[in-house]
Amino acid sequence: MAKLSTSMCQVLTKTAIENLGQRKIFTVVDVLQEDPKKLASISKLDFKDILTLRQALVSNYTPFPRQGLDAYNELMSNCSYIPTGIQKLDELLGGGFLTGNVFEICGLSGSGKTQLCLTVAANVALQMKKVVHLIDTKLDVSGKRIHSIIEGRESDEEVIGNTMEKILVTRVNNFYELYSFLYHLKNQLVREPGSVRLIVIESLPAVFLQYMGNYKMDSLGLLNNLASLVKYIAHEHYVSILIINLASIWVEEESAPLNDDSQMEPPVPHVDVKALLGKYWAHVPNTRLYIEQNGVPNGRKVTVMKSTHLALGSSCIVSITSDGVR
Amino acid sequence: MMDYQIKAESGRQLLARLSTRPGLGGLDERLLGPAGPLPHDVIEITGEPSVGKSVLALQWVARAILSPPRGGLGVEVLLIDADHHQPLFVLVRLLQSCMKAFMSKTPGLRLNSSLVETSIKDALKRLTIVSVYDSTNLYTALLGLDMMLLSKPQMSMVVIDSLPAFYWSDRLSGGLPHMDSYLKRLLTVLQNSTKQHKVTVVFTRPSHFQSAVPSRFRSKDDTVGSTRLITLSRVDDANTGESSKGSGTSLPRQNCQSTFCAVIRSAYGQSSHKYLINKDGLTWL
Repeated sequence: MAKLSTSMCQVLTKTAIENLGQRKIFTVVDVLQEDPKKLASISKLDFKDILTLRQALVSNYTPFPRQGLDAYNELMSNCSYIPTGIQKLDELLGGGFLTGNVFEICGLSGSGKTQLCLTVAANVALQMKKVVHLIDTKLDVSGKRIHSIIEGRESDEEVIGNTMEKILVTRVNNFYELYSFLYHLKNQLVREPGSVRLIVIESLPAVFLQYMGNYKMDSLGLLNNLASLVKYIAHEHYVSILIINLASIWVEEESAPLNDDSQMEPPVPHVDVKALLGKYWAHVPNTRLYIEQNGVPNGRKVTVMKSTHLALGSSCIVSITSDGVR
Repeated sequence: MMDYQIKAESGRQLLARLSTRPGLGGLDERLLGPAGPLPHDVIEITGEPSVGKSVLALQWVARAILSPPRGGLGVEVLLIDADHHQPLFVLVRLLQSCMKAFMSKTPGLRLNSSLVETSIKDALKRLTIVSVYDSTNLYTALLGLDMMLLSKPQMSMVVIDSLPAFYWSDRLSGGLPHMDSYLKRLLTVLQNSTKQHKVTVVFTRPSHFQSAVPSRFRSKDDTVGSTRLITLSRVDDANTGESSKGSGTSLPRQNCQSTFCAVIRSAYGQSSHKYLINKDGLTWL
């Protein structure tokens, strides 16, 4: 939401903003919603100036329309797959993480989410020689682990060192730090386009669950803001964003049948696995992958839960080894 | 004595009143009838995540922007994209399947891949995309529609993928309490800027964007001011009697090839159709 400021339009004076503020008109949208005559009397500006202001605000904040073909050509020349370096996962994803998309990996704790994203980060840094931003919210990303994953693929010490330098780990303690870091990345991308292709947020629930209790409504607002920012970065700068989410098991007891004769079987509790962060967030990522144990030691099954471009329900089997996910 | 009332009209209004935009007849005979949506129709598509709300909207866009010799209507469309679920990729796929379907219906029509590609490029020229990233953007885009429509006389349809996309962040900065009244307000702005132009508006709304307690703004049925309401849902949910609450966050189980159902309600009555989702879009059963 854009707050009113004197730089927006010449007719908007400091006193006018103060006058408007007293009647709880703070933002651009507030002004546009209000009746112009009323605005003139509140702000003590000329009616004509109010109309000028409205016009200026609308034309300055209207997003730039693009012709479909131009947008498509731009997308085609800038969009690419970032190979994860895990063969089976690449096949599942149709080539890798598609730039411009927000991906979510969710799974129960211990299902290998962190191992998967560390491996992807290491592979991208090693093979594509691109900077990978790893945002660590749980303060537990192990540099040693990344090092050993790279060692499993590369023996040259110098290359290993260079690759390690390409993986930039940022620790954030809370939601606001996460948001401001992403904002900083956005500005960096405006200055140096193409400098970042992959951003990994290692566990969003870790900084977010604290808001989910009493202040549920506010928490959704924060999540909405984060989603907008993440989508802006992904979409406008062709970056893939990988967000780790937790899944949890829900057991719903079916109510017992009233007459015992008709139904012999005892009620079966309905077990459901859900991604955290609620219904609003469920809609945000372009693709949601679910990772789970498949009974084989170290084996993991990755399933497409939601996607705009992949077949729902398709899956692949990967295994976790000492040098990352294969 | 009779009272003569002279109604003043601005030049812009006159132009808008006199201009004829191409019609949308035959856009989707199954859902919208043979005459297609009428000018000033507001079509609302609602449903849980992954039931094909955006796909249905984009399917209409594809049909509208394709040229008539390729099975489309050849009209211009504006897409306001607030959800950013890569609409262009989906759209191109839908354009291809739309042409494929038309080819199988029309004997003697052969399209090789280069012809298909030029047809897609030609169709995309009729599309205008506006990407919005926050509520100020969305609001000004809706207000600016008036000018945009005036400059594009061939534009007959406006599609907004997820109208309430920024509800929660608006609410954080001290917005309205009710989802319904929020939607109503956005729709009023939208209708104000489109009412002088003979365009059809299509918007999507995730089904959880609805007040739990009906607000006083709510009309008797659960439309929020739309003339046609299309509700999409998974059929297997309804059969087991399980509430569809949060089904978007649940994992698809073994029966991932589920069937879906679309219920259309409008002044002309109600009808329902079953469909599957595959890479060609929504396939009707």
